[in-house]
Amino acid sequence: MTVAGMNTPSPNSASLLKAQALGVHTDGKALLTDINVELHAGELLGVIGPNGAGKSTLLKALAGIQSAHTGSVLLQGTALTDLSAGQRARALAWLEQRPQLHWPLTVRQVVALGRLPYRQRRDQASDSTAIEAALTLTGILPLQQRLFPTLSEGEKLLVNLARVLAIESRVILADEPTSALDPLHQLQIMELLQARANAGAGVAVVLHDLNLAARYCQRLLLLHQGKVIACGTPAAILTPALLARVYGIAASYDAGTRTILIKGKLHSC
Amino acid sequence: MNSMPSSSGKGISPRIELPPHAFPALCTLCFRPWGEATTIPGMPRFSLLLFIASTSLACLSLAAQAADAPQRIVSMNLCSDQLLLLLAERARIASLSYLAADPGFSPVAAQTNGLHLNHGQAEELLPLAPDLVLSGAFSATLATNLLERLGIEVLRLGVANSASDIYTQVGSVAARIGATPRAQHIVNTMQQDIAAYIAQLRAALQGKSAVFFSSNGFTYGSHTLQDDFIISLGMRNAAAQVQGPAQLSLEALLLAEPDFLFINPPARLDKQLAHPLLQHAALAALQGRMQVIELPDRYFECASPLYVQAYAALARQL
Amino acid sequence: MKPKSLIVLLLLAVPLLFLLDLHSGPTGLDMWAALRDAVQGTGSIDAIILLELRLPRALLAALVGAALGISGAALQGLLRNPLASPDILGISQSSALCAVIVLYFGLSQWGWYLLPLAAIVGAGLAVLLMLALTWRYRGIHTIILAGIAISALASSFTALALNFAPNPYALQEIYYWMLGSVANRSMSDVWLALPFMLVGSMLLLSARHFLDALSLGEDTASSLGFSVGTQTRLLIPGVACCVGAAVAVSGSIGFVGLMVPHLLRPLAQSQPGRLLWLSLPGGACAVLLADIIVQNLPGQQELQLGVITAALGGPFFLYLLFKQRQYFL
Repeated sequence: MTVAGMNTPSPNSASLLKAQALGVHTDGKALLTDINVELHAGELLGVIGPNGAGKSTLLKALAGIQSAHTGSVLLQGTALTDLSAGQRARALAWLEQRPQLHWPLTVRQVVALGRLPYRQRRDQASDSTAIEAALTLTGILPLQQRLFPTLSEGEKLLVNLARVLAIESRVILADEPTSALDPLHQLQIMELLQARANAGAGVAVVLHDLNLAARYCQRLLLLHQGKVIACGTPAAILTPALLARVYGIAASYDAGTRTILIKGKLHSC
Repeated sequence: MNSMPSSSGKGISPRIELPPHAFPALCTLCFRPWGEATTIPGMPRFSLLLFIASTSLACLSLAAQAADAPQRIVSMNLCSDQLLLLLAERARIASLSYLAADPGFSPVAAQTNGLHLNHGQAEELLPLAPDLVLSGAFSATLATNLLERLGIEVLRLGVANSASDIYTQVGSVAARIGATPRAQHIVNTMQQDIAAYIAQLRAALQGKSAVFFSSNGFTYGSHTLQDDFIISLGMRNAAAQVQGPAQLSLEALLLAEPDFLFINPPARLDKQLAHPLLQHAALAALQGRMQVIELPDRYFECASPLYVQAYAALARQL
Repeated sequence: MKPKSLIVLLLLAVPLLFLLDLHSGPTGLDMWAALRDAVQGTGSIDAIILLELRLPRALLAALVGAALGISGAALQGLLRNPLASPDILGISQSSALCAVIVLYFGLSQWGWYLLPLAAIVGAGLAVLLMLALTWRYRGIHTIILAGIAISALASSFTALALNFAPNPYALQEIYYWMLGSVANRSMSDVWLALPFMLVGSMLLLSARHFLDALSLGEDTASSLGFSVGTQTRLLIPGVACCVGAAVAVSGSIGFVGLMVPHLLRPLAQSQPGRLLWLSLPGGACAVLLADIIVQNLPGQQELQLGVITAALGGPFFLYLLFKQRQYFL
């Protein structure tokens, strides 16, 4: 409910992740065109846009999972492609839209998978510390010996978030972590991500729920048909004109309560 | 498959049987009104006529009998191929099995030039209009059954389990195809040659033990031709406790510690699996204690004079 | 029972079953006397039987089992599917086909290594084909169907090749290649297979963390710092070497790669990486056990190993399918 705890990034905040003229295409169809976006330390960036806008693709490209066909992605000044896989894995954590688990592992085992980028160091102590911290932060410590398939959807997502947190990365990229969750879990996830941002990480989250985006994110990146339409504070982005143009809905934003009121579809749709 | 072939001359000719003694009897009936034969003076001339008539007719019937001997003989089996080539004139051989022409399998490959080769299919044999088909007891059974159903005589040759079996079989095949004198000669020669080899080798081999080790680890126990071979030389068959052909494990072979190991040497690209045992280190370890003699399976597979070659090969390698 | 103690039991079972397999054979052999003779170098028949016949057989059973076990575990980890295994996916049959071609057309006369190499190439091609066929969608259905297709193709071509080969014993040997056996092997077979199996196992084990990460899917595994392409390129030759070497010396022994990882999964707590390690002794135990059974069954002729593994593995596979049917709907 409170809006405390949200920092606006100062212009001096370190740029953690930067996409420059990023372009991705497949089978001749352009998924992303000329994307320029910057993620700063301590910032929670919301990536919004209608279905098919390219939000997931953007996140994958920022994470280095999807290779950029044009342009580049820079991590603290270095191109992603110049980093080793291990360096990239330790610096960037990516949370999938619909996390899958193919084997019936326990909660703790799943979270422990987040320590794989550190396997070369064989530092069991710091691994344990990170896992415990992640489990505690997400509040699932009592569940750690439970088998993953037996959990509820909300709990499963918390486990995956814990895995991401266990990586102790400077950048977190989360793809629609709140879809298919009940309001309580939605708020829980967003608060966790916000806390992480406050602790100095750069967090980018793809969101469908514009209210969540408005409430928790310092900046919003509005995508439409693979292009950046606008990037700025919620107040600047969530204007009736932009919402109508991009979403095709009649809506208005109340900066005071940081909520969006959706009135309905536009008649022209 | 069950329809009879059309009687277009390529079919089966029926055989007319008439007992030879019928002719003279008939003729006396015919001559009777002629010569008023009952009176004495005409008698010798009449008897002479009768005699000439009956003997010539008897000769005719004998010739007819000789013509009863099959003229188009087909062989569907490597063993019967060899026998046929040995006993019958080339003109009477209608077809041999294709294996006969393969020098890898057949000792008589060179003799098959110009003869028709069959693959054991009834369909390719019917146009040849065979009057006798020779086959092995277990080979091409479907084809031979079919030929029999169509009225063609099939003679199935069994497995020879001893030297006397060989002689019997050669004799019976010869009898059927009308080549008994030749067969007699062959059998006599075989017996003489074998006796000579036995006399030559027996002293050195008396009391020793031997075992056969063929492809895929097969040995030959009691009641086999190989067993007869071993016994005839005064030796003991180390595999005598089993009957017939049986698999012998390498372990059992080693434990038997035979003095002689008779092996079937691998031919051409016979593969490792059939003969890996021969390259096995276990056998190599026994080299000093056991003599390995190559006696190809084909010397024993058929009832034929090839059996004598087994003795010859043994004599050569000792 | 705690997993740790079960693992210890598993490791202890290997030498135990090995000794039992040494003890089994067509003739009664005093193993200890033979061992004494062998050590003293007396060169007795018993010693020869032990060292040249029984020892290679038992060693090969253990090695082939280990190779098939770890290959099965690797395939299940890579394809994220508990039904994957070298024989179900047609890899063993493909390997056998290439081995048969080299053997029966006399190509191995140009080098002893050509046989295992051909078997390995055959296995590798099958894996590549499998990955290509299931590229778009790697669900249970596509994997099994692709496996059936590859397996049927390979088996029929094997029979075809044996049909054309200038070898009168071809039919018996189809039986051997399709069902597998470690009987009558010698130490040279062990030396032939061992290096390839070692290389293959090492390649597979080097990808164990990747298989763990793969539990989360390919994209997440990529984000955790694994190059999916590179790691898969380690796994394919790894599986090919292990399966190829095993098939080259013992024919196509089925179901070991399916059953062993599946049975040991609880011991590995479902972690694919740990399962790789455990499948080595697990597979060895499985094939040793099958070989012991085969040698002690009453009867005139010794059965092929694959008969036992199929007799046990077939029903097991059906049970697995039954248990998994909920995922088909």
